[in-house]
Amino acid sequence: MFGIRRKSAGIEIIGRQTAELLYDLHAPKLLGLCKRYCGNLEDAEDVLHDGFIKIMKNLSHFEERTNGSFEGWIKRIMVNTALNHLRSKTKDKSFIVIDDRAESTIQQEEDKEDFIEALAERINKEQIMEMVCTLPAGYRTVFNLYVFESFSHREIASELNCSENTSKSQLSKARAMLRKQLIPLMNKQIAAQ
Amino acid sequence: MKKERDPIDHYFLEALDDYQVIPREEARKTFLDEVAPKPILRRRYWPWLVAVILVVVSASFITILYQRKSGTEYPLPIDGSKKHQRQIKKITDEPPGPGQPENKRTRAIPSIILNPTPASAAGLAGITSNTESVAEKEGQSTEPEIIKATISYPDSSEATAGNNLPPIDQPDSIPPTSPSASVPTGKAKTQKEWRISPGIYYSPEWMFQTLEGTKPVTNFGLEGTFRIDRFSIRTGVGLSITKGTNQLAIAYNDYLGSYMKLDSMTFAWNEQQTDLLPTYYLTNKEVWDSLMKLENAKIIKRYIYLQIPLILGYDIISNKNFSFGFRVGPILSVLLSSKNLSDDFDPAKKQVISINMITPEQISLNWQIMGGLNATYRISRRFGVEIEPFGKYYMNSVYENSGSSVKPWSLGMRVAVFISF
Repeated sequence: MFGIRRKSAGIEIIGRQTAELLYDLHAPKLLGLCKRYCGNLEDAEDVLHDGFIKIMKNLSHFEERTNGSFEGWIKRIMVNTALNHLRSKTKDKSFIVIDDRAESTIQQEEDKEDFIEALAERINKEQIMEMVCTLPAGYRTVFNLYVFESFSHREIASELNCSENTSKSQLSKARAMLRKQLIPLMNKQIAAQ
Repeated sequence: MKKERDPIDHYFLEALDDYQVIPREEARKTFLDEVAPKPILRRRYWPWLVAVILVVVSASFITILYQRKSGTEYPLPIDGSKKHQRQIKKITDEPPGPGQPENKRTRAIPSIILNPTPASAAGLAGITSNTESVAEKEGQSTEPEIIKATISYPDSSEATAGNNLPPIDQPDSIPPTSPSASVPTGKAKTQKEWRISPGIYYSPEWMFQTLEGTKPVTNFGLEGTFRIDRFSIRTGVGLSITKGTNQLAIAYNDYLGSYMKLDSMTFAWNEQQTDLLPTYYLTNKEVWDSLMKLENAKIIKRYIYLQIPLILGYDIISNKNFSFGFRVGPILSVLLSSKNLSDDFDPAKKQVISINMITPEQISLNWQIMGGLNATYRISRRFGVEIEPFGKYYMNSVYENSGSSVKPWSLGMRVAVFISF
């Protein structure tokens, strides 16, 4: 219906049925990704919608642009769409709050691997996602790009138009905040049991 | 340089890498409507418009032709009418009598011209021969009913008696027009030339050069033929039914099974505080093969098209019972409905990677040009049969996908039964 074809792969995707199939297959995971970047489901759905439109429009160019997997390609589009969305929010003064928290308020517990392992068994995914969502947008973005997209600090700095040190600082603070949130959750779990 | 991995990074990556949220149905619908609106809303509107316009234009054209032809064939007494007009004009040129409305006189005259009867013809002749005397009487008399008597086609004797008119003598200058003489021979001839023939037709055809090879198409419907001498225009509505195979090549990963993944495990003392009781937190994980496989699926569909032809014809041979000629014209086909005759492809638990539509669905609108030889045999004055071997060339592909732009052609035989009026 919308005339999208993947010629070089010998694949032609045409029709509402195919669009439905593509959406049903990838949307749940991509919505999870969007929520991780946006911090809330409403914004995540907007990003997912815009991202899928871009995917459908550029599907025919997939082979020309990347030799990687299809999933990797659509994930990359979705990440870019999420970043654009967050940038557009910057104009509303609600995006990236860098260095707005004093170092002293964050406990540095980076060496406690045992502590993390103990936590892993007690907290479910929804709670973990909630923790990421409650991070300030700047922390969350750097954390997502570094941890999930395997970006280097240089790449993050280039993507977010900030310095590498800022990126490092944001990541460090994000980790510290997450650790701080994990402790009460773990205690709550223990108390519940 | 290898990136350092903080334990917390690793923990969050593992926990959220395959995190999924099912989108709301409204969000899904919004996306699908934007990217691929249902065809009925977007694509099937304008073909109907085109079809309606075609029918209206055809009907208007035929009606105009028919009316024009009919309007010139009134049975006028050709020789006499000119004289009558000229002479009656003389009467109307006379100044109206005192108190007589002029429009009454002028209104009466055309009815005399257009509806002559033997009596009126005689009356007219009488008036003609006595024009001067009538004019004189009009000038003297105050009674305006003199003209009125000439409109109602009474017996000349009655008319003259009832209205105190002077007796109208039989004309000697203009011979009376007999009924047979007043009807021109052209009238009878025209009735033969013009025929409207509604009928029904059935035409099986075989379509070639499609992605599915050769396939049969069945057409039938109602039609009307308007014949003028050796020329004819044929239009109508019909249905065209064909089957299509929508062939899909599906790349997928096989479903291998599922297992219960242990997410976490906790231990708690029992009530007696003697044993540690474990609690397991498990999630169901499905596993697919990494080897990509291909599967061909076929979905058989039945397509029903509305056909609107506009066929022009010329008969090379034409006699009382038989005619032979050729027919050429466009046919518009609009998809009315498509129905699955087989089950839709069900991937079950397979992980679908891509779907390649080898044979796409059929297009919702196409144009064909038809050419054929027509043999018509009239069984009786009213009934006739037609046999018409024909060929069609499809002006656009019958498939939705523009990539498969092969234009098919077809051969068929049309059989029709008609009634002539």
